[in-house]
Amino acid sequence: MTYEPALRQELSFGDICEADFLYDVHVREDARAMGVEFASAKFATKRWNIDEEVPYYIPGIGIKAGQNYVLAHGVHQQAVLLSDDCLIATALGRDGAGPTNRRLLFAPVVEATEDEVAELAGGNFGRFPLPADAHDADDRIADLRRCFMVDARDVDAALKAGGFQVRSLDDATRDDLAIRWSAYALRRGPFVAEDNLEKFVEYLLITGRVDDEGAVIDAARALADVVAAAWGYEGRGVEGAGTAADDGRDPQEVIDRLVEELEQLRATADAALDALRKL
Amino acid sequence: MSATLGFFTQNELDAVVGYSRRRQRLVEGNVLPPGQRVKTFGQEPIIFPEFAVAGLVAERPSPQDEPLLRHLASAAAGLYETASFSAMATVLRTALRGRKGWQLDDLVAVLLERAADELVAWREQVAEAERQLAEAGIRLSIDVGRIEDVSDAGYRVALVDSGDIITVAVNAARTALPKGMWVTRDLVELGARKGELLVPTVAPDMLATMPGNAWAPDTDEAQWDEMFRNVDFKPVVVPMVCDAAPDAAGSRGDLVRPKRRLSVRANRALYANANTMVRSSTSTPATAR
Repeated sequence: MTYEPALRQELSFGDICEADFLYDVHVREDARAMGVEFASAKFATKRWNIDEEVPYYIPGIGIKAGQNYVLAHGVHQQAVLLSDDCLIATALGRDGAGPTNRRLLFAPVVEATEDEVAELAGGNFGRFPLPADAHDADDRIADLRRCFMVDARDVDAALKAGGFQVRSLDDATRDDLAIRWSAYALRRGPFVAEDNLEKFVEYLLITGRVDDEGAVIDAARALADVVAAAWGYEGRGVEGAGTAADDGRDPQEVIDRLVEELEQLRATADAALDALRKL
Repeated sequence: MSATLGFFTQNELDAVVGYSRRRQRLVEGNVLPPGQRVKTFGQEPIIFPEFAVAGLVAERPSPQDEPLLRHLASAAAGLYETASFSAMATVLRTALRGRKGWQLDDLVAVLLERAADELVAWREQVAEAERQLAEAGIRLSIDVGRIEDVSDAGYRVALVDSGDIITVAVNAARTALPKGMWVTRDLVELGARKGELLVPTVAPDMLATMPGNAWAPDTDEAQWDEMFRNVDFKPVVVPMVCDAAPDAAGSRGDLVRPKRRLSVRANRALYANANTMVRSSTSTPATAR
């Protein structure tokens, strides 16, 4: 599965959104600050039947202090929200406060074929597959290479107007999206570890350091498991401890969870050590 | 090039020379070629091809000027004999019959509505006549512009094509032309004589709908002209950098994990529900591993 059957109640990491203002904006060499001028209401009425002044923007001239219009490139797309839930809540305003001028990070979502999506499942750092499932018949790709930011005030207004959220990813897909995003942005995490260890497996075999293909694969998987367990320890254990503190939960429950996670980490580390020593 | 209409009437010519009687004297003195009257009940527009004003630089003609002025008159007379002009005149007579007054804008609107093809054809014949006049030593360089301001120094005219704002001497027209008026700025050579004239004309966007006409401005051009009237800066030209959308979505330059013979996959259960990007309230509880 890829999607939740219904939208999450609050705008969340991994939600797919659409709005008139969602463009994967980026600058190129032709970026210029722009000044704004206004076509008169009389002219606008005559030309476009709009009975009000209509702004138009001109690169390089009439730049006024406090204005930030810039000529840029971009394509209108649906987009997946890549900001974390904590930032989203802060940006949109906690405890009834209004939205702030912070920005939320999005990546465009493009339509794709079933074959393209299947091919990406193997391993592209910058493109994340969103295969069709029982809740949505369209195959899509989240293009992490083309991230862009949107002012939270406008996201808030679009949410209130309705129709901004299109789909919510299910938990497993959100886990994978976070790992893929970490791989693309930081070159860290289980996805990157698997790639590095596959290369190391080939190297061990090519150099003749190890002849037993099964043993070297087992060792590599054990090493990848250590990274996965560390990822789990950091997320469920350490992050969970912080969240529990915020929520005022029972401290003993948190300690028990941390112990459990560390034991898991130690077990996977021990297994990796054993596998390595056998090579 | 921006559109020039190719003709004007006695009204515009009177503004250039000062008043109607003077225009008539200049015609009688062979300085200006005769116009063609389009007479109908209660109305009598007189049509002149745009090059007719060239004679004004020889207001007191010398013997050297006279053959050139005859050439000018002959070229104008030839244009009045054309089928396209005849068709235009017929349309104008019908449209103006019994009407109270008219302006150049009215004539152009009628022609564009009922004889646009003939107007285009006649404009091309005027252009051809101008090429022949140039070979004879009568040259015109005509720019369309708008009077932005009037001062003692002269008329400040914003030219449509170049965007330049030029200053034209106040005696380029004998009548004071108002700010905001559309004009042609005519640089004229008649033999050794040279002069600069301002002749009232129609707004370029009136001609935007003219069929098959490469020299008329398109709708956007006319629209931009109106919009940019508020701007007293010369725009910075930005070299465009083009993106092809399919290329942006493609995989060129990606960091890709190659398909290897031996794959290494970690145990997914070890990192399930360990997503630091989500709040526990928006995620399902961690499951047993």
